[in-house]
Amino acid sequence: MNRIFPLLLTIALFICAGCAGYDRHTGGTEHYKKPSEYNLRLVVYNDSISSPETDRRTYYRVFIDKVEQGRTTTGLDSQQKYFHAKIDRNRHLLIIEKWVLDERAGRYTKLNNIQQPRPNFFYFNVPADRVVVITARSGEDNATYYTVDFERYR
Amino acid sequence: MKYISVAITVFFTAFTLSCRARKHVEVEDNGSFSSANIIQVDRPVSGHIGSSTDRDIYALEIDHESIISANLTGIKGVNHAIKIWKDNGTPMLLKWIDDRRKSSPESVINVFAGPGRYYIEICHGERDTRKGNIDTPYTLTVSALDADPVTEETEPNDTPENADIISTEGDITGYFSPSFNRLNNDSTHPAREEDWYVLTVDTGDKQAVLIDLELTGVPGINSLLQLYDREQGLIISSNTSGPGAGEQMRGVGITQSGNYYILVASEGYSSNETDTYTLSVRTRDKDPLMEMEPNNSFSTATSMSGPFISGSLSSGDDKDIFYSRLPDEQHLYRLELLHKGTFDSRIFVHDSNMEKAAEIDNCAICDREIHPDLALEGGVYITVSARHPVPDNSGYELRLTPLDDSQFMEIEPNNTRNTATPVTSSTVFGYVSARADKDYYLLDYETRVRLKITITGAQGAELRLSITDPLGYIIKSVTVKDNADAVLTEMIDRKGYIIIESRRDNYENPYSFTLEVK
Repeated sequence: MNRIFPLLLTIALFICAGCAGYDRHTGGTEHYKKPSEYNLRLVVYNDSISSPETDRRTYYRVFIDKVEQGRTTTGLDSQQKYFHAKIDRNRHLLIIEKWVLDERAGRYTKLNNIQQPRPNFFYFNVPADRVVVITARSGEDNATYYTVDFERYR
Repeated sequence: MKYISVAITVFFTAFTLSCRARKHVEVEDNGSFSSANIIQVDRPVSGHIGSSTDRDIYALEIDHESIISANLTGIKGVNHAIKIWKDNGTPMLLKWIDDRRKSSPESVINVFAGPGRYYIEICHGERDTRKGNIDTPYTLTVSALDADPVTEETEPNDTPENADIISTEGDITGYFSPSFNRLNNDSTHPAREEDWYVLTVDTGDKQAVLIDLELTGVPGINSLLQLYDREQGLIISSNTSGPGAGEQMRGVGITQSGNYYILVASEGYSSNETDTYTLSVRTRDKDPLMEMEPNNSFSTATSMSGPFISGSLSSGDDKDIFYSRLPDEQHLYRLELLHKGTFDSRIFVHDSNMEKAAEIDNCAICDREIHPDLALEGGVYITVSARHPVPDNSGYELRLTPLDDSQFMEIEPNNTRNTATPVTSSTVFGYVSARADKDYYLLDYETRVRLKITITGAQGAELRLSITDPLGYIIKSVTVKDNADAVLTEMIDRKGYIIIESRRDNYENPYSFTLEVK
């Protein structure tokens, strides 16, 4: 009996560990969040900022399927700014528009086109039961790279 | 022929004697009252100040109440003076006139003289080295008119003790006499010629009596009018109108019966011996709807017992302070100052601790100043003043009326982020309450929200509504004219501000906006 009990306990632990890592959509071991208040999360930032002088306070207006849906949070250009929305399961067009703070005027102004992210659009799919996370990372000369992932439990 | 020659000689002799009789010549030694030379009115007398110790005294008999004037010509290089004495058994000095200048004439007018003997002394002035001049004679001319002590001042009225009596409904005339009164030893205005009047006020069983004083203008004279209480403490002073213009005090409140003293004087020792001033006194019962002067300080503020009160500004320097006791809990009030639009008015509001709560100066020369929604509580002081000189009789009406604050209203002052009105209702009302007014409203949510804001403008105004980020920087704006509607939808990062800016002011009509979380 003293030998059987540790064996059964070890088998039970293996079974539990195996169940927790299973995902029926991917067949992998990730834990993806299910949509509740939103199923789209946009993260925008610029990783080419190297000095405080050029690190302006910024936000991005967000258009989905050419309809304005709102804007990201405000923050420094180098900081991550967020936008959340709940949209239909479908393929969608994302367009972002960059606005920066004119401190003398005390208001944000839209950057002209050559200073906007390039490209300023991105097509993406929204599957069922997933929160799509789009990360738009701008670099030198406003070149912008879009990556897509699904939001996970941490 | 011989008879004709005798007749001509007799005629010229008589004529010469007659001429000598018209102009007296002093007879020395006339340096004491007992040896004074007798003179008569309207007959000049000439003499000399012959040495550094010389003085000439003339005696004048007055047989009925008169107003006498004395003119003394100048003596080259000599500073002389006039003293007028009344013989009351022993001579009593009435006036001492000395302009403290060499070679200049001296004069005194409007001295009241009852029946009796008077002495007029010509002596050295005090300022310069005393010396005689036997080459240049002086001429002294004394004139007299019948006196009317009811309607004319009676010099000497140079002190409160010698003040002329003026009735509570009286007019009296006087002169800004061309004299330096050496008997006036006041350290602030030494030797100033002053006219004092005494007014007996009986308040009876009334709470207070209001006095109106008016002093007419005299060419070339910058006049001063002051009212003193029974202990001769200054109640109110008026010296604002400039040369040639009169002075006035309206609605001076007297709460205790007794004698009150009025001082009339000129600034800068200026004088006018040809034109009289008229001092008018009127009294009236205190009206609870009228200001009561002096109310130039918080301690003497006129109480407002109702929602409105009237007053007037007598000059650009005048200010009227009113005290209103409001409920202890804060409410909104509309504060208005209405007048004829002939002066640039201003209103200051102080709380019970005398801390400034508001300043209302929305227009230059216009007929009203308005603060449409002032948040007040407890005792408040309201000061009415003018930025520039005001015309005569600048009357006004001050109104303080409570607003219906059952609806959610802005709370002024909210002109900055730090004083922003926190929004706790889905509908908010506000006013343009000052020139180019800015109203800040604080939005505070637990999560990031998308907000639909619908603004309805104020008739007559042009407004710009802006929404800001949490730091107060404007993200989006919309403009409305008159009472049109406009809609703005924007994200609020948990915290943000709504700013309403006036681009065309209208203080009469409110604006409103509604908030809807999308």
